[in-house]
Amino acid sequence: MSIRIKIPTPLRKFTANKDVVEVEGSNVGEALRALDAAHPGMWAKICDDNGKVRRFINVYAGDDDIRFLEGMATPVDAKTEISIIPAIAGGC
Amino acid sequence: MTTRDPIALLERYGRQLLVEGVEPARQVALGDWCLAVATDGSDVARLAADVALRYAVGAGIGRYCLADAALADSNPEDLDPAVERIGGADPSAAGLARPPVAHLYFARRRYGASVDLLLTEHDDGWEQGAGHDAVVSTVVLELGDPQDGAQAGPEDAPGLGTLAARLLVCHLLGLEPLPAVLHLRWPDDDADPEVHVRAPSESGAEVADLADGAAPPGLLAELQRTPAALDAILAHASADYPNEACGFVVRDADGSLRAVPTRNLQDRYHAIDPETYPRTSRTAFKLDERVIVREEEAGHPLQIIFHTHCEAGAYFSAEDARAAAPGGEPIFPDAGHLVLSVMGGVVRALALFRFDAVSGRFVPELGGGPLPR
Repeated sequence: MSIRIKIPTPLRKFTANKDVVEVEGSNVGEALRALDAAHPGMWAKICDDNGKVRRFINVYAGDDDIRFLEGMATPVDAKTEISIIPAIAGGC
Repeated sequence: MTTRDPIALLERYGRQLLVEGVEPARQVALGDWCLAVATDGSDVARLAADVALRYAVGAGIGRYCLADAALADSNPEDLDPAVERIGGADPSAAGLARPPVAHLYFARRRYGASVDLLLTEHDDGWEQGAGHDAVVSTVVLELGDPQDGAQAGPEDAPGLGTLAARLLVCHLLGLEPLPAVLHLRWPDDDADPEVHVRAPSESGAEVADLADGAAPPGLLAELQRTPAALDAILAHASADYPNEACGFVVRDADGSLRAVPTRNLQDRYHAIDPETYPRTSRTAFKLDERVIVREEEAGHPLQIIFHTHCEAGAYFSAEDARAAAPGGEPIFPDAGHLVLSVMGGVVRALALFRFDAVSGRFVPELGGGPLPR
Protein backbone atom coordinates (compact mmCIF):
# COMPACT_ATOMS: atom_id res chain seq x y z
CA MET A 1 0.00 0.00 0.00
CA SER A 2 1.47 3.32 -1.01
CA ILE A 3 2.05 5.70 1.90
CA ARG A 4 2.98 9.37 1.59
CA ILE A 5 5.73 10.60 3.91
CA LYS A 6 6.28 14.35 4.24
CA ILE A 7 9.95 15.23 4.63
CA PRO A 8 11.01 18.34 6.56
CA THR A 9 13.41 20.80 4.98
CA PRO A 10 16.46 19.83 7.09
CA LEU A 11 16.18 16.19 5.96
CA ARG A 12 15.54 16.81 2.28
CA LYS A 13 19.22 16.53 1.51
CA PHE A 14 18.71 12.79 2.03
CA THR A 15 15.76 12.66 -0.37
CA ALA A 16 17.21 14.52 -3.35
CA ASN A 17 15.25 17.54 -2.14
CA LYS A 18 11.90 15.79 -2.39
CA ASP A 19 9.36 17.07 0.13
CA VAL A 20 7.16 14.00 -0.20
CA VAL A 21 8.30 10.41 -0.64
CA GLU A 22 5.92 7.53 -1.38
CA VAL A 23 6.75 4.14 0.09
CA GLU A 24 5.08 0.82 0.79
CA GLY A 25 4.15 -0.34 4.27
CA SER A 26 1.30 -1.23 6.60
CA ASN A 27 2.59 0.51 9.69
CA VAL A 28 4.85 3.46 10.51
CA GLY A 29 7.90 1.30 11.20
CA GLU A 30 7.64 -0.46 7.85
CA ALA A 31 7.12 2.81 6.04
CA LEU A 32 10.18 4.39 7.67
CA ARG A 33 12.30 1.31 6.91
CA ALA A 34 11.17 1.58 3.29
CA LEU A 35 12.05 5.26 3.34
CA ASP A 36 15.53 4.40 4.62
CA ALA A 37 15.94 1.77 1.91
CA ALA A 38 15.10 4.33 -0.76
CA HIS A 39 17.07 7.12 0.89
CA PRO A 40 19.80 5.66 3.09
CA GLY A 41 20.48 7.57 6.31
CA MET A 42 16.91 8.61 7.02
CA TRP A 43 16.26 5.97 9.67
CA ALA A 44 19.27 7.03 11.73
CA LYS A 45 18.20 10.65 11.50
CA ILE A 46 14.76 9.81 12.81
CA CYS A 47 15.45 7.04 15.33
CA ASP A 48 18.06 6.30 17.95
CA ASP A 49 19.95 3.01 18.30
CA ASN A 50 17.02 1.46 20.14
CA GLY A 51 14.64 2.23 17.33
CA LYS A 52 12.92 4.95 19.34
CA VAL A 53 12.04 8.24 17.67
CA ARG A 54 14.69 10.78 18.61
CA ARG A 55 13.80 13.37 21.20
CA PHE A 56 13.99 16.29 18.81
CA ILE A 57 12.05 14.61 16.01
CA ASN A 58 8.33 13.96 15.79
CA VAL A 59 6.68 11.40 13.55
CA TYR A 60 3.01 12.03 12.93
CA ALA A 61 0.57 9.54 11.52
CA GLY A 62 -2.30 11.68 10.39
CA ASP A 63 -3.05 14.16 13.13
CA ASP A 64 -1.23 12.51 16.01
CA ASP A 65 2.33 12.03 17.15
CA ILE A 66 2.95 8.28 17.01
CA ARG A 67 4.20 8.52 20.61
CA PHE A 68 0.53 8.90 21.56
CA LEU A 69 -0.55 6.12 19.19
CA GLU A 70 1.11 2.75 18.87
CA GLY A 71 4.59 3.97 18.09
CA MET A 72 6.26 2.24 15.16
CA ALA A 73 3.42 -0.32 15.14
CA THR A 74 0.87 2.39 14.39
CA PRO A 75 -1.07 1.11 11.38
CA VAL A 76 -1.22 3.26 8.28
CA ASP A 77 -3.12 3.07 5.04
CA ALA A 78 -3.26 5.02 1.81
CA LYS A 79 -5.35 7.70 3.52
CA THR A 80 -2.79 8.24 6.31
CA GLU A 81 -0.05 10.69 5.65
CA ILE A 82 3.11 10.33 7.72
CA SER A 83 4.83 13.59 8.60
CA ILE A 84 8.33 13.88 9.96
CA ILE A 85 8.56 17.17 11.84
CA PRO A 86 11.57 18.48 13.75
CA ALA A 87 10.65 19.28 17.34
CA ILE A 88 10.65 22.86 18.47
CA ALA A 89 11.48 22.76 22.13
CA GLY A 90 13.76 24.06 24.83
CA GLY A 91 13.85 25.09 28.42
CA CYS A 92 15.49 27.40 30.88
CA MET B 1 33.75 66.08 21.52
CA THR B 2 30.82 65.89 19.19
CA THR B 3 27.33 65.50 20.51
CA ARG B 4 25.63 62.32 19.43
CA ASP B 5 22.23 60.83 19.85
CA PRO B 6 22.65 58.35 22.72
CA ILE B 7 20.39 55.82 21.09
CA ALA B 8 22.35 55.99 17.86
CA LEU B 9 25.51 55.46 19.85
CA LEU B 10 23.98 52.52 21.66
CA GLU B 11 23.09 50.90 18.38
CA ARG B 12 26.47 51.64 16.96
CA TYR B 13 28.32 50.05 19.84
CA GLY B 14 25.69 47.40 20.16
CA ARG B 15 27.02 45.73 17.07
CA GLN B 16 30.07 44.83 19.06
CA LEU B 17 28.22 43.24 21.93
CA LEU B 18 28.73 39.63 21.04
CA VAL B 19 30.88 37.64 23.37
CA GLU B 20 32.67 34.92 21.49
CA GLY B 21 33.39 31.52 22.92
CA VAL B 22 30.44 31.16 25.24
CA GLU B 23 29.90 27.45 25.05
CA PRO B 24 26.88 25.94 26.82
CA ALA B 25 28.63 25.29 30.13
CA ARG B 26 29.75 28.87 30.40
CA GLN B 27 26.39 30.14 29.25
CA VAL B 28 24.75 28.22 32.06
CA ALA B 29 27.34 29.50 34.52
CA LEU B 30 26.67 33.05 33.39
CA GLY B 31 22.97 32.49 33.89
CA ASP B 32 23.68 31.68 37.52
CA TRP B 33 25.01 35.16 38.15
CA CYS B 34 23.13 38.11 39.51
CA LEU B 35 24.23 41.56 38.47
CA ALA B 36 23.60 44.48 40.81
CA VAL B 37 23.91 47.83 39.08
CA ALA B 38 23.86 51.07 41.01
CA THR B 39 24.36 54.66 39.97
CA ASP B 40 24.95 58.02 41.57
CA GLY B 41 21.73 59.20 39.95
CA SER B 42 23.38 61.36 37.29
CA ASP B 43 22.09 61.21 33.73
CA VAL B 44 25.39 59.88 32.41
CA ALA B 45 25.52 57.14 34.99
CA ARG B 46 21.90 56.13 34.52
CA LEU B 47 22.26 55.83 30.77
CA ALA B 48 25.49 53.89 31.09
CA ALA B 49 23.85 51.60 33.64
CA ASP B 50 20.93 51.00 31.31
CA VAL B 51 23.24 50.08 28.46
CA ALA B 52 25.28 47.81 30.70
CA LEU B 53 22.15 45.99 31.84
CA ARG B 54 20.96 45.48 28.27
CA TYR B 55 24.31 44.07 27.35
CA ALA B 56 24.46 41.78 30.37
CA VAL B 57 20.97 40.43 29.78
CA GLY B 58 21.73 39.88 26.13
CA ALA B 59 24.90 38.05 27.08
CA GLY B 60 22.88 35.79 29.36
CA ILE B 61 23.21 37.07 32.89
CA GLY B 62 20.63 35.25 35.00
CA ARG B 63 19.24 38.01 37.20
CA TYR B 64 19.78 41.67 37.58
CA CYS B 65 18.89 44.57 39.77
CA LEU B 66 19.12 48.27 39.06
CA ALA B 67 19.24 50.30 42.23
CA ASP B 68 16.41 52.81 42.17
CA ALA B 69 17.87 55.43 44.42
CA ALA B 70 21.06 57.35 43.83
CA LEU B 71 24.04 56.38 45.88
CA ALA B 72 26.31 59.09 47.11
CA ASP B 73 29.71 57.62 46.55
CA SER B 74 31.55 54.79 44.90
CA ASN B 75 32.66 53.31 48.20
CA PRO B 76 31.99 49.57 48.00
CA GLU B 77 30.06 49.60 51.25
CA ASP B 78 27.60 51.95 49.62
CA LEU B 79 26.59 49.20 47.25
CA ASP B 80 24.96 47.36 50.09
CA PRO B 81 21.68 49.25 49.76
CA ALA B 82 21.52 48.06 46.17
CA VAL B 83 22.16 44.53 47.27
CA GLU B 84 19.51 44.89 49.89
CA ARG B 85 17.04 45.92 47.23
CA ILE B 86 17.77 42.74 45.37
CA GLY B 87 17.01 41.10 48.66
CA GLY B 88 13.46 42.27 48.17
CA ALA B 89 13.26 39.82 45.31
CA ASP B 90 15.35 37.27 47.17
CA PRO B 91 15.16 34.07 45.14
CA SER B 92 15.68 32.03 48.30
CA ALA B 93 12.17 33.10 49.28
CA ALA B 94 11.00 31.21 46.22
CA GLY B 95 13.04 28.18 47.23
CA LEU B 96 15.82 28.94 44.76
CA ALA B 97 19.51 29.06 45.53
CA ARG B 98 21.01 32.48 46.05
CA PRO B 99 23.10 33.38 43.03
CA PRO B 100 26.59 34.84 43.15
CA VAL B 101 26.46 38.59 42.72
CA ALA B 102 28.57 40.96 40.67
CA HIS B 103 28.38 44.72 41.05
CA LEU B 104 28.66 47.62 38.68
CA TYR B 105 28.64 51.14 39.99
CA PHE B 106 28.35 54.10 37.65
CA ALA B 107 29.10 57.66 38.67
CA ARG B 108 29.86 61.06 37.23
CA ARG B 109 33.42 61.78 38.27
CA ARG B 110 36.63 63.53 37.50
CA TYR B 111 36.68 63.55 33.75
CA GLY B 112 32.99 63.72 33.30
CA ALA B 113 31.92 60.15 33.94
CA SER B 114 33.34 56.94 35.24
CA VAL B 115 32.38 53.46 36.19
CA ASP B 116 33.73 51.48 39.08
CA LEU B 117 33.76 47.89 38.01
CA LEU B 118 33.59 46.00 41.26
CA LEU B 119 33.99 42.35 40.57
CA THR B 120 32.56 41.15 43.83
CA GLU B 121 32.08 37.43 43.82
CA HIS B 122 30.33 36.20 46.89
CA ASP B 123 27.60 33.72 47.57
CA ASP B 124 26.04 35.02 50.73
CA GLY B 125 26.40 38.78 50.63
CA TRP B 126 22.75 39.61 50.51
CA GLU B 127 22.68 40.98 53.99
CA GLN B 128 23.96 44.47 54.46
CA GLY B 129 27.65 44.66 55.26
CA ALA B 130 28.43 41.08 54.34
CA GLY B 131 30.38 39.63 51.51
CA HIS B 132 32.64 42.45 50.45
CA ASP B 133 35.73 40.57 51.56
CA ALA B 134 35.76 38.93 48.17
CA VAL B 135 36.24 41.92 45.90
CA VAL B 136 38.23 40.59 42.99
CA SER B 137 39.30 43.85 41.50
CA THR B 138 38.21 47.38 41.02
CA VAL B 139 38.73 48.95 37.65
CA VAL B 140 37.96 52.61 37.23
CA LEU B 141 37.09 53.48 33.67
CA GLU B 142 37.19 57.15 32.96
CA LEU B 143 35.91 58.83 29.90
CA GLY B 144 37.78 61.83 28.75
CA ASP B 145 41.47 62.45 28.54
CA PRO B 146 43.30 63.27 31.77
CA GLN B 147 46.09 64.88 29.73
CA ASP B 148 44.03 67.59 28.13
CA GLY B 149 41.08 67.51 30.48
CA ALA B 150 38.56 66.77 27.76
CA GLN B 151 35.16 66.20 29.20
CA ALA B 152 32.82 63.40 28.35
CA GLY B 153 29.09 63.79 28.32
CA PRO B 154 25.93 61.71 28.19
CA GLU B 155 26.64 60.90 24.55
CA ASP B 156 29.55 58.77 25.73
CA ALA B 157 27.56 56.80 28.24
CA PRO B 158 26.61 53.97 25.82
CA GLY B 159 30.23 53.25 25.09
CA LEU B 160 31.03 53.35 28.78
CA GLY B 161 28.18 51.05 29.73
CA THR B 162 29.03 48.65 26.94
CA LEU B 163 32.66 48.43 27.89
CA ALA B 164 31.94 48.00 31.58
CA ALA B 165 29.45 45.19 30.98
CA ARG B 166 31.72 43.52 28.46
CA LEU B 167 34.62 43.51 30.90
CA LEU B 168 32.36 42.14 33.59
CA VAL B 169 30.82 39.42 31.45
CA CYS B 170 34.20 38.38 30.08
CA HIS B 171 35.49 38.15 33.60
CA LEU B 172 32.54 36.08 34.79
CA LEU B 173 33.03 33.77 31.82
CA GLY B 174 36.73 33.47 32.49
CA LEU B 175 37.47 35.01 29.10
CA GLU B 176 39.86 37.75 28.30
CA PRO B 177 38.10 40.87 27.15
CA LEU B 178 38.00 41.03 23.40
CA PRO B 179 40.18 43.63 21.74
CA ALA B 180 38.97 46.88 23.17
CA VAL B 181 36.31 48.65 21.25
CA LEU B 182 37.18 51.82 23.03
CA HIS B 183 40.76 52.88 23.16
CA LEU B 184 42.35 51.70 26.39
CA ARG B 185 45.48 53.28 27.74
CA TRP B 186 47.33 52.01 30.73
CA PRO B 187 49.61 54.47 32.56
CA ASP B 188 53.24 53.69 31.87
CA ASP B 189 54.73 54.98 35.05
CA ASP B 190 53.07 52.90 37.72
CA ALA B 191 50.96 49.84 38.33
CA ASP B 192 47.90 51.89 39.03
CA PRO B 193 44.89 49.70 38.30
CA GLU B 194 43.13 52.55 36.56
CA VAL B 195 42.41 52.11 32.92
CA HIS B 196 41.87 55.32 31.05
CA VAL B 197 39.32 55.09 28.32
CA ARG B 198 39.48 57.71 25.69
CA ALA B 199 36.23 59.04 24.46
CA PRO B 200 34.77 57.08 21.53
CA SER B 201 34.85 60.05 19.20
CA GLU B 202 38.58 60.39 19.74
CA SER B 203 39.55 56.80 19.81
CA GLY B 204 40.66 56.30 16.26
CA ALA B 205 40.16 53.97 13.40
CA GLU B 206 38.89 50.92 15.21
CA VAL B 207 35.77 52.82 16.12
CA ALA B 208 35.61 54.99 13.04
CA ASP B 209 35.53 51.85 10.93
CA LEU B 210 32.12 51.12 12.33
CA ALA B 211 30.05 53.22 10.06
CA ASP B 212 27.64 55.68 11.60
CA GLY B 213 24.86 54.13 9.61
CA ALA B 214 21.33 53.30 10.52
CA ALA B 215 20.51 50.68 13.09
CA PRO B 216 21.28 47.21 11.82
CA PRO B 217 18.22 45.54 10.36
CA GLY B 218 17.17 43.03 12.94
CA LEU B 219 14.21 40.81 13.62
CA LEU B 220 13.93 42.08 17.18
CA ALA B 221 13.93 45.69 16.05
CA GLU B 222 11.25 44.87 13.50
CA LEU B 223 9.19 43.06 16.11
CA GLN B 224 9.48 46.05 18.42
CA ARG B 225 8.09 48.19 15.62
CA THR B 226 5.11 45.82 15.36
CA PRO B 227 3.16 46.43 18.57
CA ALA B 228 0.32 44.04 17.70
CA ALA B 229 2.73 41.13 17.42
CA LEU B 230 4.86 42.06 20.41
CA ASP B 231 1.85 42.72 22.63
CA ALA B 232 0.38 39.34 21.72
CA ILE B 233 3.64 37.68 22.74
CA LEU B 234 3.84 39.58 26.03
CA ALA B 235 0.21 38.77 26.87
CA HIS B 236 0.74 35.09 26.12
CA ALA B 237 3.94 35.06 28.19
CA SER B 238 2.09 36.36 31.24
CA ALA B 239 -1.02 34.26 30.69
CA ASP B 240 0.86 30.96 30.72
CA TYR B 241 2.97 31.83 33.78
CA PRO B 242 4.15 30.00 35.88
CA ASN B 243 4.56 27.64 32.96
CA GLU B 244 6.76 28.42 30.01
CA ALA B 245 4.80 29.98 27.17
CA CYS B 246 5.71 29.42 23.55
CA GLY B 247 4.72 30.33 20.05
CA PHE B 248 6.12 31.79 16.89
CA VAL B 249 5.99 34.73 14.53
CA VAL B 250 5.36 34.49 10.80
CA ARG B 251 5.52 37.00 7.99
CA ASP B 252 2.19 37.59 6.33
CA ALA B 253 1.72 38.19 2.62
CA ASP B 254 1.71 41.95 3.18
CA GLY B 255 5.17 41.71 4.70
CA SER B 256 4.13 42.35 8.29
CA LEU B 257 4.94 40.18 11.28
CA ARG B 258 2.17 38.25 13.02
CA ALA B 259 2.51 36.41 16.32
CA VAL B 260 0.96 32.96 16.69
CA PRO B 261 0.78 31.93 20.37
CA THR B 262 0.62 28.16 20.76
CA ARG B 263 0.03 25.65 23.52
CA ASN B 264 2.96 24.29 25.44
CA LEU B 265 2.74 20.52 24.90
CA GLN B 266 5.58 19.66 27.27
CA ASP B 267 3.38 18.22 30.03
CA ARG B 268 1.67 15.89 27.58
CA TYR B 269 5.02 14.41 26.55
CA HIS B 270 6.31 14.35 30.12
CA ALA B 271 3.25 12.35 31.16
CA ILE B 272 3.80 9.53 28.64
CA ASP B 273 7.62 9.44 28.70
CA PRO B 274 9.19 11.14 31.72
CA GLU B 275 12.50 9.48 30.96
CA THR B 276 12.89 11.20 27.59
CA TYR B 277 11.05 14.32 28.76
CA PRO B 278 12.10 14.74 32.41
CA ARG B 279 11.00 18.37 32.56
CA THR B 280 7.51 19.72 32.92
CA SER B 281 6.18 22.89 31.34
CA ARG B 282 7.44 24.76 34.38
CA THR B 283 10.98 24.63 33.00
CA ALA B 284 10.57 23.51 29.40
CA PHE B 285 8.44 23.95 26.33
CA LYS B 286 7.46 21.86 23.36
CA LEU B 287 5.59 23.68 20.68
CA ASP B 288 2.90 22.22 18.43
CA GLU B 289 5.04 22.18 15.33
CA ARG B 290 2.13 21.34 13.02
CA VAL B 291 0.82 24.87 13.49
CA ILE B 292 4.05 26.17 12.00
CA VAL B 293 3.83 23.68 9.14
CA ARG B 294 0.30 24.88 8.39
CA GLU B 295 1.36 28.52 8.39
CA GLU B 296 4.32 27.82 6.14
CA GLU B 297 2.17 25.81 3.74
CA ALA B 298 -0.18 28.78 3.63
CA GLY B 299 2.72 30.92 2.47
CA HIS B 300 3.56 32.53 5.81
CA PRO B 301 7.23 31.85 6.46
CA LEU B 302 8.48 31.34 10.00
CA GLN B 303 10.48 34.29 11.33
CA ILE B 304 10.75 33.92 15.10
CA ILE B 305 10.20 31.15 17.63
CA PHE B 306 9.52 32.49 21.11
CA HIS B 307 9.35 31.02 24.59
CA THR B 308 9.58 32.19 28.17
CA HIS B 309 11.85 31.40 31.09
CA CYS B 310 9.94 31.65 34.37
CA GLU B 311 11.87 33.13 37.27
CA ALA B 312 14.96 33.00 35.09
CA GLY B 313 16.76 35.31 32.72
CA ALA B 314 16.33 35.93 29.01
CA TYR B 315 19.30 33.84 28.00
CA PHE B 316 19.60 31.11 25.39
CA SER B 317 20.06 28.04 27.52
CA ALA B 318 22.04 24.93 26.75
CA GLU B 319 18.72 23.10 26.43
CA ASP B 320 17.46 25.76 24.02
CA ALA B 321 20.59 25.39 21.88
CA ARG B 322 20.40 21.57 21.90
CA ALA B 323 16.80 21.67 20.75
CA ALA B 324 17.22 24.43 18.16
CA ALA B 325 20.32 22.85 16.65
CA PRO B 326 20.46 19.12 17.40
CA GLY B 327 23.97 17.97 16.66
CA GLY B 328 24.99 21.57 16.08
CA GLU B 329 22.87 21.92 12.95
CA PRO B 330 20.09 24.49 13.26
CA ILE B 331 16.62 23.31 12.27
CA PHE B 332 15.62 26.79 11.18
CA PRO B 333 18.92 28.54 10.43
CA ASP B 334 17.24 31.80 9.47
CA ALA B 335 14.75 32.05 12.32
CA GLY B 336 15.25 34.17 15.39
CA HIS B 337 14.74 32.71 18.84
CA LEU B 338 13.09 35.15 21.21
CA VAL B 339 13.47 34.39 24.91
CA LEU B 340 11.44 36.29 27.49
CA SER B 341 12.22 36.42 31.19
CA VAL B 342 9.02 36.31 33.25
CA MET B 343 9.28 37.14 36.93
CA GLY B 344 6.17 36.85 39.05
CA GLY B 345 4.01 36.77 35.94
CA VAL B 346 5.48 39.94 34.48
CA VAL B 347 7.80 39.97 31.48
CA ARG B 348 10.95 41.66 32.74
CA ALA B 349 13.37 41.23 29.87
CA LEU B 350 13.71 39.78 26.42
CA ALA B 351 16.47 38.89 24.02
CA LEU B 352 16.50 37.51 20.50
CA PHE B 353 19.14 35.03 19.41
CA ARG B 354 20.23 34.11 15.90
CA PHE B 355 22.35 31.23 14.77
CA ASP B 356 25.76 32.46 13.69
CA ALA B 357 27.11 30.06 11.07
CA VAL B 358 30.68 31.26 11.52
CA SER B 359 30.93 30.56 15.24
CA GLY B 360 28.27 27.85 15.23
CA ARG B 361 26.56 29.53 18.17
CA PHE B 362 23.39 31.40 18.97
CA VAL B 363 24.20 35.03 19.59
CA PRO B 364 21.97 37.84 20.83
CA GLU B 365 20.68 40.46 18.46
CA LEU B 366 20.95 44.09 19.39
CA GLY B 367 18.04 45.61 21.24
CA GLY B 368 17.26 43.06 23.92
CA GLY B 369 17.28 43.88 27.58
CA PRO B 370 15.10 44.75 30.52
CA LEU B 371 11.63 46.06 29.83
CA PRO B 372 10.39 49.21 31.56
CA ARG B 373 8.61 48.45 34.81
